[in-house]
Amino acid sequence: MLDTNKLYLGIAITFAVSFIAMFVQQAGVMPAIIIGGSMLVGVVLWFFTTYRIPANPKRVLPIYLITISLLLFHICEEYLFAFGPRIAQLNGSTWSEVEFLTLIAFYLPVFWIMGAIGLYFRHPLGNAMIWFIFVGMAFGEPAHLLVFPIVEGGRYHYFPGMWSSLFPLVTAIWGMSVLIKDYREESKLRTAEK
Amino acid sequence: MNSNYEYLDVPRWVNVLFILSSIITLCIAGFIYTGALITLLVGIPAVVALLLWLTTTYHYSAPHSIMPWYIGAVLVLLIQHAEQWHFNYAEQLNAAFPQFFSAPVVFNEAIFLSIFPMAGLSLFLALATSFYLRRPLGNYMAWLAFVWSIASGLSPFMFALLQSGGVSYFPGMLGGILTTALGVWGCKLLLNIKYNVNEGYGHA
Repeated sequence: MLDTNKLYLGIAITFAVSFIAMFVQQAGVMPAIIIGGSMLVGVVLWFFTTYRIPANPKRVLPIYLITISLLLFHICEEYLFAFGPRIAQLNGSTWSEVEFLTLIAFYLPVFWIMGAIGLYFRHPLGNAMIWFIFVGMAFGEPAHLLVFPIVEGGRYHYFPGMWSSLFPLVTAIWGMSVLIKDYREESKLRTAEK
Repeated sequence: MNSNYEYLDVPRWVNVLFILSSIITLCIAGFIYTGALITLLVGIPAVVALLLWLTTTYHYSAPHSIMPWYIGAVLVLLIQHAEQWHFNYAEQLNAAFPQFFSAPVVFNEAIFLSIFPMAGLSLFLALATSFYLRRPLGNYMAWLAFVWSIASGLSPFMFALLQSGGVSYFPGMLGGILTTALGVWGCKLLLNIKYNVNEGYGHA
């Protein structure tokens, strides 16, 4: 019989890999390494924590909702100041505004919001999505301040998305600490029950 | 010492004032910058949601079981906005009703994207937290999410009927079926909550 958890693991890995492939093709290698790397770290952390013991939504769902809310707000800043074309310029890729909006403002948020519903029902894929987001925010967002303006060269300057990039990072770090604490408590409880 | 802090517990009626102030301010700003049509489109659902909230979940909190429907409403709104963006909603609206968009009023793609799928849905998601924590403001947002879903779903059909040049497809019609269905279902759920004194907010 098929282990459904293994099926979910396969789905999560497929999602991450196909997203990375799409991102490399559209935006270029550098942003794909930053975001794709975060996604793969997210899968690993998910596998070692809430993959088998899903997180308690009462503890983590509000933090996740605030994180994706701040992320949408951040995307708004990126869009208004032409993040996509600037990244394309930086990488020599052809990432247009339309491609940026399709992928970052519409396609991915569908999965992020579905992740919130999955988390509510303690579904493994909802838990995978929360790790994607938290790790992505914690490791990917600082690139707006520490990588992109420096790689562009010249005097340190504004890069689209800079002003709103650190706020989802705060809630993501908070969320990860809650996830790990919750997982440790839950696994201790389960061990004691055995 | 604790009794001093009790003064900082936000009374429920302060939420009503806060929501009213937000609606008035946003409607005036909307009228100045984006014109009467967009303001009515957003303002009417906001007021209807306020009235429905005041007669229902203002007095008692909705249960957690409505949370997936709330988030589902945000999800289908995003899908509808994607359709609207793909088929040039702002441009079509300007062409169909030019009388509402004469200078200095501006409603273009950038404004549509910033207000509806980005800032708007960001606000809905942030305040979903308040709903999950069973706060009065979150209960208003649940009403707004469902009433807005209905308005957002029906408006493309209304525009298709009223536009100059005959009835034809208007961006958002396909997604509008989904948002209307989910909005009606959500309103039904909120109206059918059985009042239980233990489910109240705890203080008036």
